[in-house]
Amino acid sequence: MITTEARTWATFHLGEELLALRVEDVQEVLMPQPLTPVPLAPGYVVGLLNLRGQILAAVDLRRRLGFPPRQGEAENLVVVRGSEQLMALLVDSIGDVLELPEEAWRAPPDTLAAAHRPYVHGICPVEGGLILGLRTEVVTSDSQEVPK
Amino acid sequence: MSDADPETLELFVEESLEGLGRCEQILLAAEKSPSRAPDAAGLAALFRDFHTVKGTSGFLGLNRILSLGHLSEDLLAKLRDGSLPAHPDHPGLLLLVVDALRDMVTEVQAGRGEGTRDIRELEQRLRAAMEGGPAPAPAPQSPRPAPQPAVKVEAPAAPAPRPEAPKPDAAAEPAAPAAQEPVEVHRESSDGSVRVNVTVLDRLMNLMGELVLARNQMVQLARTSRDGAAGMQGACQRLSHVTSDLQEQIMKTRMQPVARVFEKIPRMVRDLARSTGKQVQARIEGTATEIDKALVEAIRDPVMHIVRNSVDHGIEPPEERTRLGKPIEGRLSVRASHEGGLVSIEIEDDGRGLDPVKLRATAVKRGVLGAAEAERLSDREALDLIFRPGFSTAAQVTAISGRGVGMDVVRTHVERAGGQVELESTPGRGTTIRLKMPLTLAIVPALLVSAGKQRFAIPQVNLLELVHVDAEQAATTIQQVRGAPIYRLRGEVLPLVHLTRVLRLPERDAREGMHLVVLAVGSRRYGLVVDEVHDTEEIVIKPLHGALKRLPCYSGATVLGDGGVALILDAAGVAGMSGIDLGSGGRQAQAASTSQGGLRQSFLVCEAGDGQPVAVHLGLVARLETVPRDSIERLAGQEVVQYRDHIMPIVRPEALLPLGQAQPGEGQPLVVFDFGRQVGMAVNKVLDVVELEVPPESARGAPRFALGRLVIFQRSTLVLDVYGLVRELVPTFVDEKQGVDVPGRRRVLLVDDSCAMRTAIAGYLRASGLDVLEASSGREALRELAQLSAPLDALITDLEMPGMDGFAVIEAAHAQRPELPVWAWTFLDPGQVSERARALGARGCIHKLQREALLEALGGQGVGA
Repeated sequence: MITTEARTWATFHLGEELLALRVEDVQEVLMPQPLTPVPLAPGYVVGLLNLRGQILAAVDLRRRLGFPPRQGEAENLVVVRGSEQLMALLVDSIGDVLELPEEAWRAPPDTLAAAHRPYVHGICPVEGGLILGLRTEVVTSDSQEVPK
Repeated sequence: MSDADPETLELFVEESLEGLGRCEQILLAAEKSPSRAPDAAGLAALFRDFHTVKGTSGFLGLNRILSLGHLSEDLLAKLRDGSLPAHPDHPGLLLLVVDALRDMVTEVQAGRGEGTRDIRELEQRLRAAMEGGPAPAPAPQSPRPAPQPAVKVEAPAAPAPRPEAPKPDAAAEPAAPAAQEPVEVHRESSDGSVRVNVTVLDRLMNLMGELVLARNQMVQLARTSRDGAAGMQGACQRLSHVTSDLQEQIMKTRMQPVARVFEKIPRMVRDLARSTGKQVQARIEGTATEIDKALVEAIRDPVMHIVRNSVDHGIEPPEERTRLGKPIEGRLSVRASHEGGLVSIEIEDDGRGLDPVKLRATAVKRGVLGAAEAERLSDREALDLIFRPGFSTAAQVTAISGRGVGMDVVRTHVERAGGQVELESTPGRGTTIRLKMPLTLAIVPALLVSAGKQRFAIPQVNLLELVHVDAEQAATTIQQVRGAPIYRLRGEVLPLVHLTRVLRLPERDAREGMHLVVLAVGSRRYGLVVDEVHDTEEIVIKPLHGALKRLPCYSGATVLGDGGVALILDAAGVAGMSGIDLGSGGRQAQAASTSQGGLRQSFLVCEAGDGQPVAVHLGLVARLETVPRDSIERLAGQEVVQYRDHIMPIVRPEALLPLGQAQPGEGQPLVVFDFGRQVGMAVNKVLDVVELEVPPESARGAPRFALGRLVIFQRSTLVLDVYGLVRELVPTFVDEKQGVDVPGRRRVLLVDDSCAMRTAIAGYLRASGLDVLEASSGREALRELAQLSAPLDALITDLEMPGMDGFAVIEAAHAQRPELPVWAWTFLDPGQVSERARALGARGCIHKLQREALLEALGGQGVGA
C-alpha cells in the first residue's frame, strides 16, 4: 500500500480480539434491542429489528466470522451500510475510533484460516495488540458460506 | 366564446390534449410505415379522436376548433371509406393540424378563448387534399416524442398567468405557413402534468409507508391510553384520515396504464401468426386500466407467455379451422378491467381449447401423475394440470413455446406478485385465462396470526375464511390420508399445514383445539393451522435481507402497530415447503366449466335469518369479517360498528326478506361491501364460494330485494340484491356515482367515453331534474346495467367509442332489458346511423348538439314525468 491517506476506523471487541470497520460504513451503534427471530434462517441471522420503521437483519458477527459462541449477552449492535441494505451486527462491545494510515495495514498472516480471508482487509499493529480490519461489503453480503 | 363551466372546459382541455397526443403517435408511426399512411385501425382511432375534439368543441361553442376538427374529420372519413386514396403527405398535413389544434386548446386552457392563430391556410390545404388536388406542402420534420424515463404525474393545472400580449408567434405573422411554426410539442408543463423521477416516487412511497406505520402506532397508543390527554383521540382520528387520504393519492402516482404491457401484443401476435402460418386477429381492450408500476412489470412476462401459448397451441391452423367450420381467422382478445379492488386481465382465444381427456393422458405419459390418480381427477382438476411443472401440451414442441417455460412458471410469477390465475376452457371452443392482480403491492391488509409464540402476517388476498376447531371436533373432522392431515370442511377435503411444523417452532398442546386459516393459492386451497388468530392490520411490505429472501415461506416483513416486527407468510411458499400437493384434491367438487353456454358467476353463500341460505355476487364482496357482538352499536336507529377507524353501517337481510329471525351469537360475521363507502351485511355464517351457471329463468318470481333463486347445495337459495338492500336500509348511504335516490325522480344511464361530454350533458340533464348515472365505456355500462337494481328509465349511449361501441351497447342492453328505452346520441349524422341503431333495438338517434331534443325524447318516454 503506497497511499498515505489515513482512514478512520471504528473498533469493537469480539472476546479478546479487536476488530474494526471503516467509520464511513457505520451508521450508528445501538443498545441491545428486541429481535424477531426468523425461523429457518441461516444461523448467523439472529433476527429482525425495527430501526425507525426500517427492518434490518441482525447478524451475529461471531457466527458470521466463525468465532466461538459468545459467553453472556452481546452489548451492542453496529448498524452498517451494506452492499444491499442496512444491517445490524452483534458485537461484544464497542471500542475506540482510530485513525489508521493505509500503509500501516499488513496482509493477514498465513495462519488465518482461508475461510476468513475474504472478510479481512488487513491486520494493523497497534499499541497492545493487533486490529483485524474487516471489509464491510463482504461481511454484509448474503453469501451463505459461513466459515466453521 | 364558450360559456361552459370551468370544470367542463378543463376536462375538454385534458381530454383533447390526450387525444391529440394519441393522434400524433399514430401519424408518426404512419409516416414511418412503408405505405406512409395509417392503417385501418389507425384511421379509425384518428377519426375517433378528431371526432371527439370536434364534437366537444362544438358543444362548448369553440367554433374555430370545431371548424378545423370538422375538416380533418371529413378528410379522415373519406380516407376511411376509401373514397379518397391515401397520399403520403396526409400524415404530415394532419400533424400540422394536430399542432394547430393543440395550440388552440392550450389557449382555451389559458382562458384566452381559442387564440388568434390563423387557420385558414391549413383549412384550405385540408380542402385541397380532400379534392385530391395539389399535394399539400411538405410537412416539417415532425418532432419525435422524447423517451419517457419518468412516470407522468397528474397534478391540478396551475392557473395560467394572463399575459397582456397575445402569443407572439401567432400574432406577429398571421399568415406564416405552419411549416415555420416553432416545433415544440411537449408542453406537459402547462397542461397540468409534471414529470417526476421514479426514484422520487419510490422514496415518497417509502415515507408514506412509514407514516402509515407511525399512524398505526399512534392509533394503538390512543386506544390503550384511556385517561390520556383530552383531545388525543380526536387528533389521532384526524391524523388517521389525513394519512389514509395521502396514502391513496400517493398510490395514484404510482399507477400506470397496462397499455405499457399490452402495446407489444399486437406486434407479437402478428409475428407469431406469420411464423406459424396462422391467421389471428388480436383485440386489445382496457389499455387505460391502471395498476401499480411494480405490477405492470410483474404481469409483463406472464401475459406475453399466455398470449404466445394461445397463438401457438390454442388457435388452429387455417385449414383445420375451415374443416371445423370456424372462421379462418382466429380471435384472440386481451382485456383489462378493474373488478372489486383487483385488476383482472383476461386472455381469451377461440382456438381448440383444453381437452381434459387428453390432459390426463399427457400427464400420465409425462409421469406427472399415476394412471389411477389421473382418472380420479375431475375435469376441472384436469385443466389445472397445465400448471404442473414438467407439463407441456404441445404435440410438437415448437420454437416459440417450447422453451421449458411452462404455465407453472406463469402461475409462480403471478402468485409471487400477490395475484391469482384462473383458467376456463371448452374443448373446440377456446380457452380463457384470467389473471387477478392486486392494485398495489406496497400496502396491503393482512391478518395477524401467531404460532410458536411468534406473530406472522398473512396478506388477505390469500385468505378465504377462519375456522376454529375445538379438541372434540378435531378428533372427528381431522383425518390422516397417507400420513397427511386433512380436514373436512363442508364436504370439501382440505389439506392441512401446521405452521409450527413447517417453521420448526415449538408446538402447542393439541388439547386446546386449533385455528385453521383457509388460504387460497390460485384455485387451490389449504388450511394453515396456527396457534392464535389476531386482528387485521394494514401492513407495509418491506423486503427481507438477501440471505432471507431465499426462504420461500416469507414474502417480506412488516412493522406492526406496537413497533414489533412480523414476518409476512407466503401462502404458496409455505404450502410448497410443507410438501403438500396442491395439484389435486383440496377443492370442492364443482361442475367443470367445460359445459356449454350459460353465464357462469361466482357467489358467496351464507346463512342468514333462521338458517336460510342466501347468496351474493362474489364480485361485490370486499372482505369477510367477524366482529364481537357487543361492538355493534346503534346510531340514530342504525346498527353500526367501529371498523378500521370509521363507522360502518350494518344491514340485515332478514329485515326486508322472509328469512326468519337470526339468533344472535357471540361473534357477528359480516360480509363487507364497498360501494365507495363500506357497509357490512350481518349473516349467521359464511358457508362457501360457488361458481355456477345462472339460468335465465332463475330471476322469475324473486321477491323484492332479491335478484333470483338458485339451487346451491341442494337448497333453494335467494340471491340478494345487495345494492337494493343497502339503499333501503341505510337511507343516508349515498354513493355519488350512483346518484341521489329521490323517490319519483327518473333515472337514466349515460354512456360516453368522453369525460368532458359526459360531464357536460350529465350536468344538463341533472339540472333538468333527472338522476343521471354515468359510464365511460360500453362494458362499464353493461356491468352497471347488470348490477343496478334500482329502476332505470332510459339508457343513452354514444356510438363512437373504443372497445365496445354504441351499437354493441344497444344490442346488449336491448337483449338484457328489452323494455328499457335506449337512445343513441352522436355527432354522426343521425340520418345515417339511426336505421342501424333502431334495428338493434334503439328507440332513436339524437344529435349531440340537440340537447333539448334529448330531453324531450326522455320526457316523451315519461322520464321527466
